[in-house]
Amino acid sequence: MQRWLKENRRQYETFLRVVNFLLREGFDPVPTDPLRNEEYRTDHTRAMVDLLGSFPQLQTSPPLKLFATGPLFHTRRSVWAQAVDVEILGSEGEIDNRQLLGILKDLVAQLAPDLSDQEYTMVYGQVDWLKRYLVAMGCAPEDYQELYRWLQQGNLQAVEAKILEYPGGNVGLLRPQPSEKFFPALNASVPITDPEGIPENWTTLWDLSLVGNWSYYSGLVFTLYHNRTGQVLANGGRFGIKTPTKTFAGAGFTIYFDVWQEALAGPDGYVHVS
Amino acid sequence: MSVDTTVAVAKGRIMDVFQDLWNQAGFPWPIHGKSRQLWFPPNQDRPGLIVARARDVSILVARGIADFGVVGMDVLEEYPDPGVMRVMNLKRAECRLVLAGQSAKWPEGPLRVATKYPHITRQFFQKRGHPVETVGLSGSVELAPVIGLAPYIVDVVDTGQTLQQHGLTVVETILWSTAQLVANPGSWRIRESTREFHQKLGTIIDKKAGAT
Repeated sequence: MQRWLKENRRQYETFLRVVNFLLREGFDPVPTDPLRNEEYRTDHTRAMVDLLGSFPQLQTSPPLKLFATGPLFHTRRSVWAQAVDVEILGSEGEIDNRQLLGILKDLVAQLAPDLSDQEYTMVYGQVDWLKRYLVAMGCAPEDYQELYRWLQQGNLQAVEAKILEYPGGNVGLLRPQPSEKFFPALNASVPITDPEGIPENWTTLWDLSLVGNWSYYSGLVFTLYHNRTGQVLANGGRFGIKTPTKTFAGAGFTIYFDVWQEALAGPDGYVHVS
Repeated sequence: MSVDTTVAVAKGRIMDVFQDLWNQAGFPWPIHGKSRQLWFPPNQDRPGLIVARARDVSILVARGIADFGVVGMDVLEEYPDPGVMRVMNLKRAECRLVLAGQSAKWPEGPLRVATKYPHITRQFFQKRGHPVETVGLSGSVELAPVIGLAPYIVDVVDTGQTLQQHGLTVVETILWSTAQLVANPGSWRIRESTREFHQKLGTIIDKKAGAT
């Protein structure tokens, strides 16, 4: 039992480190309800903007920096998983990818100071580029929604089969590639003037089949994987969300505490603290 | 090559056809005779293999226990899991999911359907705007009309012999199903060995398709 209690204490201390870091960086906490529209909470972002939408005036400059904590419900697995959601809300031009990804990098250092950068792989997608790429391949704009939905559902095979029906269809950009291969290939179909200014903090891959978990993503999306377990440590992206009263532009990410514990644990399932 | 990859395969017909693919890829099949062993860790000669119930395959893959899963499209449609990626149609173990009854006539009015596929059945009738009540069964579905449980069934048909033996006729095909290769998204995106295994199977599938 002592070991179990010690482990719980360590997890709680890690959680406090993350929360204190966010408070120090000027992020304000937003409490979100675990039950939303009579369904268990599966996403903090949507819940946060619903709450913000209830205020008549929003502070928009400088951008709002917010975070929410609490478990998210995995519908398919019927389990709750502890998560921290970090958001920067403001007008489109105000949000800098480098700033957001820098915060993620700093949070990773708080969560796992002993893991080296070689233990992670960051995969980026870009929803707007995907659309332009598919249209360039011959996809009719009205078919795009269906292909996008298939990718959200993880049906890569159906999307690739459809693309290969187009004359000159090429599925190469729907497979993960390093930046030096990805951008020349993308530019051959879709000229990209701004490659998003992404810092390559970890091993970095680009893959246009990555579209994020939610349909509100509108630009860059990303997932940080743990190399040994292959599990998702954090994911997020840029988004635009409409509420009945307002439209929110922002960028953010969610970090999954339970997966971090698996990543840090030894073969006995415990994290050994020196 | 690919020996650090693990594949979860649905037991039954899917596993039989996958064994053929596995052998063609040059890997020794680890299950011998009537062995009841369900887990074969990867070794230097071949990837790992987990034998699982069809509906558990996605869970094992989504949780990262297996890099790949082999399962029927019918099961993936019934238990959709965004935690896995469908990366290849293996074009084997073909079957179809059908609506069947004692006559081939489309049902009139609200109806009751016995099935192992309540999700697909409700979606199918919803698209048609036809009210339906599903009776969830886990097997011997074709008995339902015979014993008066439900006049129609939705079930998988291979040769159609079982339907015929129970006096049932296909009303409509809902879905054509084949074995699908699904992957853990993390493993798919970050491990070269995972994509190598996929490529190896793809070459065999394409060769076979080219030959027919």
